[in-house]
Amino acid sequence: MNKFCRLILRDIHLVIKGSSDAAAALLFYLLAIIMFPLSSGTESTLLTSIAGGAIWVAALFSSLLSLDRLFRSDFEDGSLEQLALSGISLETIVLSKCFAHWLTNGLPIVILSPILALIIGLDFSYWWILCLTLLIGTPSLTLIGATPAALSCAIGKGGVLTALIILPLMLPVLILGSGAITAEISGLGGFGHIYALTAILPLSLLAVPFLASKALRLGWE
Amino acid sequence: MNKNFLIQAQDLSFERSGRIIFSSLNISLEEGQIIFIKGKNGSGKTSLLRCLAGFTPTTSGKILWYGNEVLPAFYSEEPLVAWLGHLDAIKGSLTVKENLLFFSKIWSVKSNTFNKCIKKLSFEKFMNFPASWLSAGEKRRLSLIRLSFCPAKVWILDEPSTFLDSDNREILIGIMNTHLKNKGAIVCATHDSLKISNALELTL
Amino acid sequence: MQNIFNFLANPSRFRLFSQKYYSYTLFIMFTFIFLGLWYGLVNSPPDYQQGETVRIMYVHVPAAWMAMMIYLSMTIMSIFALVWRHPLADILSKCSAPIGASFTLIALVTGSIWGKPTWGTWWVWDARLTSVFILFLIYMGHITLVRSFEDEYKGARAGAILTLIGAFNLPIIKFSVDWWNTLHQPASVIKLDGPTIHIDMMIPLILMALGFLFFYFSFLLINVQTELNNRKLKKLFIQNFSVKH
Repeated sequence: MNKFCRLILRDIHLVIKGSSDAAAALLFYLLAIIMFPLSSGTESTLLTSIAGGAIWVAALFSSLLSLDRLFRSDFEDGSLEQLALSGISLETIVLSKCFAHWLTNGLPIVILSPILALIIGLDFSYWWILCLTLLIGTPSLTLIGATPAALSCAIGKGGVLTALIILPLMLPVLILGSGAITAEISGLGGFGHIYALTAILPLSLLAVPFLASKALRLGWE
Repeated sequence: MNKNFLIQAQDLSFERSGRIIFSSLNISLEEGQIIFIKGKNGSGKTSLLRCLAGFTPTTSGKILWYGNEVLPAFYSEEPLVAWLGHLDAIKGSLTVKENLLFFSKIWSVKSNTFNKCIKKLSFEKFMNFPASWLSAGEKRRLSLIRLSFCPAKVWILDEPSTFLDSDNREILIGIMNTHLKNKGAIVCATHDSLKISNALELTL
Repeated sequence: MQNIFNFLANPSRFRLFSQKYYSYTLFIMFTFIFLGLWYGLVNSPPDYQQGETVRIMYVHVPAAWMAMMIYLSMTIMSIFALVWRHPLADILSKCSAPIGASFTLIALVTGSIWGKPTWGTWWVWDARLTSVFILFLIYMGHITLVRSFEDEYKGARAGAILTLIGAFNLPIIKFSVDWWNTLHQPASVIKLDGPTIHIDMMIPLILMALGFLFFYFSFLLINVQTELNNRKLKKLFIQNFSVKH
C-alpha cells in the first residue's frame, strides 16, 4: 500500500475515533436545512423553489465548518512536521488530506441529500440532479477551502476569519450547483451548469496543492 | 563538494523581523559524528535546527544534504532526517500502537526493528492504551521510540531530554550512541550535558 | 527595465525613491482629477436619456476600472513575491489592497446612487454589481488576513498567497455570476459602456481614470513608505532595546 493511501486511511481512522468535528459538521448540515422551512414557512411551492439552493447553502456551511480543522490538529501537534520529513512531498500531503476530507464530509453530504430533498419538498424526480451537482461540487468546495485553512494555521487562530476568506471563493460552486437544479426544474436543462461546475475541479486541483503547501510552510517559519 | 559529509551548512545566516538570530555559521557532519548546539534561551537554537531540517528558509547560505541542495522537508524520496521537536506528534485518540505503527509503515520499518525499539524503552505494557492517557514523560518516551526506529541517517533533536528522568536519559544516550555506531549523524540542541564521547560542540 | 527593477528591489533605496517622487505623482493626480471633474461636471453634455445624473459615471466607471486593475497588479506582484521571492513585491501587493478596496467601495456606492434615478432602486442584483460586491468582500478578507499576523513579513507573504487564490477564482466568479444573472433576470438594464459613447463624455472619463491611476501610484508610494518605516523602526527598537546575544 503506498504512502498516499496510508495518509488517507489515517485521517479516516482519526475521524472514526472522533478526534475531528466531521460528525458535528454533518449534524450541522441536517440542522441548517431545518432552518429554511422554519424561517420561510412551510408553503410547499415556496419550499420547492428554494429547496435546491437551501441544500446547497447547508452543504457549503457544513464543509466550511469542518475545513477550519483540515490541517489544524496535525499542524498544532507536530504531526505535519513529521509527515513532511517522511519522504512525502507536502503537496501530496495536502491532496491526501483534501481527499480524506471529501470522503468524510463531502461524500456523506451527497449520500444524505436525497433524504433531505424529500424533507424539504424537492420533487422526487429531481433528486438525481441534486446528487450529481453535490457529487461534482463538494470536492471543489474542499479544494477551494484548503489554502485558506492552511493560512489560518499560520495565523494560529481560525474560525470567523477563515470563513470570511473562504466564502467569497466558494460562491461560484454555490451559484452553479444550485443554478443547475433551478435550471433543470424550470425546464431549461441543468447540464450547462454542470459542465461549468465540473471545470472548476481540475482548475483547483492544479492550483491548490501548490498554494496550500506554500501556506503551510509559511506557518512553519 | 565532499560527498562524505551527510549534512553541510555553509555560511548560514538567519534574520527574523529585522533581528539577526545567527550569522556565518558553518557546520559539517560526517557519518558517526554528533554536534551539540548550546546556548541560552532565545539564542536561536531552535531556529537553527528548523533551518537545517528545511522548515524555515535561511536568509542566506547553503545547506547541502549528501552534497545536494535539496532540503529534506521538501522533496526527499525517503526520510533523510528524523526530527524530534517540542511537539510530540501524538494523536491522543489513537492507541500507542496505532500511533507508532503508522509511522513505521510510512517509513517502511521492519517489524523486527520496530519490536526491538519498543522493548528497549519497555513500552510493551502501554501498547493498547489510548495515547492521551500517557503522562508527559511517557509521551516523550513514545517520541523516542519513534525516533529510534526512524531509518533517516541524520537526526535533528531539539531538547530531547526534557521530561525525562535520569534512567530514561541513560536510555536516550544509548539510543544516540547506537545511531552513531550505525553511521548516522546527530545535531542536538540541549541544556543538559549528555555524555557522549567525541562530540562536537557549537555555542550560539 | 531590468535595471530599474533591480534598482528598486532594495527596500531602503525604494524608500528614498518614493520620498522623493510621491509629491510629483500627487501633483499629477490633482491636475488630472481637477481637469476631469471640470470637464465632466461643467463642460460635457447631459445624456439625452438620463439627463444630469449621467455625470456620476465619471467617478463610477473609473473607480470600477481601478478596482479591477489594482487586483491585477496585486496578482502580478504576488507572483513575483512567491516565485522569485522579490523583497518588495509582497509589500507592494499588501499596500495595494486598501486602495483597491476603497475604489471598489466607491464604485459600489456611486453605482447604487446612480441606480436610484435610472433603475428606481438603490440596489439591483445585476451581474456587474454583484461581482464587484464579491470583489469588495475578497479585498476585505485580504486586508483582515494580512492584519491578523503579528509578524508583518509573514502577513505580507500570506496576503500574496491569498491574492493568487483570488486571482484564480475571480474569472470563475465573474463567469458564474454572469450566468446566474441571465437565468434569474433577463437582460433589461441599460448598458452605457461600449464604443457608442460620445467623445465629449470619453474625454472626462479618461482624464478621471488617469487621475485615479495616479491616486493609486501616490498612495501606494505613501503606504509602502509607512510600511518600510514601520519595519525599520521595529528593527531599530530590537537593536537598541532588546537583549543582545
